[in-house]
Amino acid sequence: MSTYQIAGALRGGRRRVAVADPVMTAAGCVVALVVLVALLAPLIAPYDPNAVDPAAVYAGPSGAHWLGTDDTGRDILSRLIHGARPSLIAPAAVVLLATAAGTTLAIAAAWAGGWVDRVISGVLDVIFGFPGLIMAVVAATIFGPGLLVPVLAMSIAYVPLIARVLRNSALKERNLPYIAALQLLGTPTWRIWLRHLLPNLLPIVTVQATVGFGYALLDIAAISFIGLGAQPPQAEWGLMVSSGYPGILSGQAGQVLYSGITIVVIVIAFNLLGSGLSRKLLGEGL
Amino acid sequence: MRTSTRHCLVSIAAGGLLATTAACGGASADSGKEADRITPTVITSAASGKLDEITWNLPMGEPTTLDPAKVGDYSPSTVEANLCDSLLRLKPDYSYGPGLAKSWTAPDPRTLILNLRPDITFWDGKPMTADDVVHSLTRQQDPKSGSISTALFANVSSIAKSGPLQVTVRFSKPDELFLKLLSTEVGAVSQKAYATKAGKNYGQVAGGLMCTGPFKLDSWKSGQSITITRNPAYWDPTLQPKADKVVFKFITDGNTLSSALLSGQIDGSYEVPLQTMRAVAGSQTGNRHYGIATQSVTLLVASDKSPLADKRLTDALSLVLDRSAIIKNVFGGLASAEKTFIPPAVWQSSQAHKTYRQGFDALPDVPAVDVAAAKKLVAEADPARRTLVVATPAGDQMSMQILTFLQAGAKEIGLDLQIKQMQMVDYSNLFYVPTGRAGIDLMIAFGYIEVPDPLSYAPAFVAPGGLFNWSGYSDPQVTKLLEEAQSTLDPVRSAKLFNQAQARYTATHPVVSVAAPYERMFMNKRISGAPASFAYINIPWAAMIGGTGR
Repeated sequence: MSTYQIAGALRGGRRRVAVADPVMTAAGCVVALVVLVALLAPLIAPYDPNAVDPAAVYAGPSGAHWLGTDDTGRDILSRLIHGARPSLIAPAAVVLLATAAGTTLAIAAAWAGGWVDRVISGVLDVIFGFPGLIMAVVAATIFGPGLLVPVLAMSIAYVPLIARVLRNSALKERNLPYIAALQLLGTPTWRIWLRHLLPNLLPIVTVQATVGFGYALLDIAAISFIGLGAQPPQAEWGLMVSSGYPGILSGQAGQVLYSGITIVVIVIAFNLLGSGLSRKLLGEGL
Repeated sequence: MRTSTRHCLVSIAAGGLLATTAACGGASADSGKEADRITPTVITSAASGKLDEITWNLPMGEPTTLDPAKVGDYSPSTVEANLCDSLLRLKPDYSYGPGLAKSWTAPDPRTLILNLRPDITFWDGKPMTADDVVHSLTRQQDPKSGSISTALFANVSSIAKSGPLQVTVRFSKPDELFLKLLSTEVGAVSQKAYATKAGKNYGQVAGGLMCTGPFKLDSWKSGQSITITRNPAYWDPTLQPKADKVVFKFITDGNTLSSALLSGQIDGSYEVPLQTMRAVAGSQTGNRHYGIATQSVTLLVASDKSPLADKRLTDALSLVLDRSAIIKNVFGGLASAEKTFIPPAVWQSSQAHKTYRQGFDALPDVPAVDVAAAKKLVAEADPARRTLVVATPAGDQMSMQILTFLQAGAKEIGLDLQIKQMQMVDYSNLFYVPTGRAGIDLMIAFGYIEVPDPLSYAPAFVAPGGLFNWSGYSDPQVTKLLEEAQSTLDPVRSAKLFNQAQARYTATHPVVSVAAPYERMFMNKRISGAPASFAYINIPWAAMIGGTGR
């Protein structure tokens, strides 16, 4: 680790991380809990999430079904638990892909400068003009429903969100003397990127990815809500809101309520976690 | 989807439904138990009070056209039926009688002479002539006009004026169905001069309409509303409109519709979503009404290449489909199980209804759930693939519930049914664009029959090249029997031939009949008189509505 890394954001961050942040801690716990639930879904779900029961359609909460059943008698709790997997994996894939591409483009633009920077920035500006949700809807309409296509489309749409912020940070970092020193020492460019530049950008990458995850989760849920994302009978939170929506009129709001609250809680948790990380790692709020 | 070409109008309803004609205002059917007490009706209580305005909703959205040659769906037909009279008039109980044609004769089996009423004028005051009738029927026959009814004129060799108020239709072979078709939009009469001048814009926002109905088209604000106003010179004293104006809104969201109905902003609506009907239960504003209907829910095999083209597999799916659970949980008990895709309401008002009844009763009963038998059928069929794709419109809860039950049942017999949600436009295209059905094995269809004759529907499913015969079903004997039935003018003999065909194709045709839902209508207490039956879609129902004084 270089001197400048230590002198960077992480240094100050480490000092402040030690200070308790109850909100961030609570948000982190929620996120950890839901990830745990997703990992252990087959073990902890009381029922097969797709098992219908004509005799128990719209059953209310009971000892047998803690959160009741849906319009085909499926256990809502089991579907919520199993729904954590696609509901988390899809936005995670969006964030991972967008972060990988965005970070690479940001560093490349900052490093090369000149026309390369202008072209990359211009392309990012153009992509930034298209809302991710719209891109996903268009892509799913063209290529057919399912989670894969919206994930890819939204990954592209999310690249500017990551890259635009990172480019500025990368530009500042690139102009610091330690980079010039490393170049003078003959350090290969790839090594400077991977071993020096990237680690110093990690705090901001982490913050952007965390906040982006919340938005991506919401967008994926919206795609599934309109029928273009997860397909039945898959348990996925957005799809559960969609299939439970008509039941509201007849007083069967359980499915919408529980899946909707779950989405809201997780999105808020990721946003609070992102804000907390921003304060801790970057010394600034979002 | 809501399929509705006029080819595919269905008929439904359990036997004896037509016997009940009392209104059922305020009937509640929130559970299967309550639904047991619901008897679908034909018409609501008569009311004669004058009204300034009625606001009515079209839950399927804004019509795409009002041209009688092109309407073939819920919204267009609901509006058009009040604007353009037909040569024959359908009644709420699915019987039919004189309309713009006061009488008709058939001097020989290949000739139909229509005698027109002399007192008919268009909205602009000009008299209706035989030329207008010939032009209107010719437009329906001519594919260049964009008509969706061309195939129905397959046996028509000529349409000609044979007198100032007489039109003669000649057939290449006898056609018992054609006269009944004239009670639908097929027999609607438009003014020749106006329609010719409007060209392709006829029936559109830009082109307008010129007909003889009890209401005339006043305005069409795209995306907002359609307004029709009373025709003060209407010829039929029994259908003089009591309302000066009817405004149609296009609310498709169930939540919004329930609020609008409860608040009185909307006076009424046909095809009210089941969830909305539940939401307005006990309303002090209006009443729910359930009518006999010729609608049906069917699972159609989408390709002759699909493993499901093997009837053993569709039979297997039928055996794991718990219809009683579906009727209770999906339709709230407001439907009947179907043992064929043509339900009794289609023929219940026919002169040959006893014969049709015999044929219907002889069909196998609706199968009870039998997983073991279904497994055996799958084993016998031994399909090349067991993962099957079923298409459904996104957001349609009824379809999704039905398919979820079916999916669970299919899993038990080793079939992996994958549900593919499609946007409504794409889904509708599946019915008419063969390439769109690639990769799809099964489709769920909500269809209806307009013409009170099973021969208006069956060939579309079982005749080679039929509009919905995508499974490639072909049985020369069935085809021959259906053709003979249509060529037989004697109702009883025609019905017997149809029964033979029905018995044969029911045993061999790969299709799954699911249920026949009742018509669901809500009407504000300040109005009454509208038909409760699905026949509304072909009769000037708005002219029957009057004020109750409340």
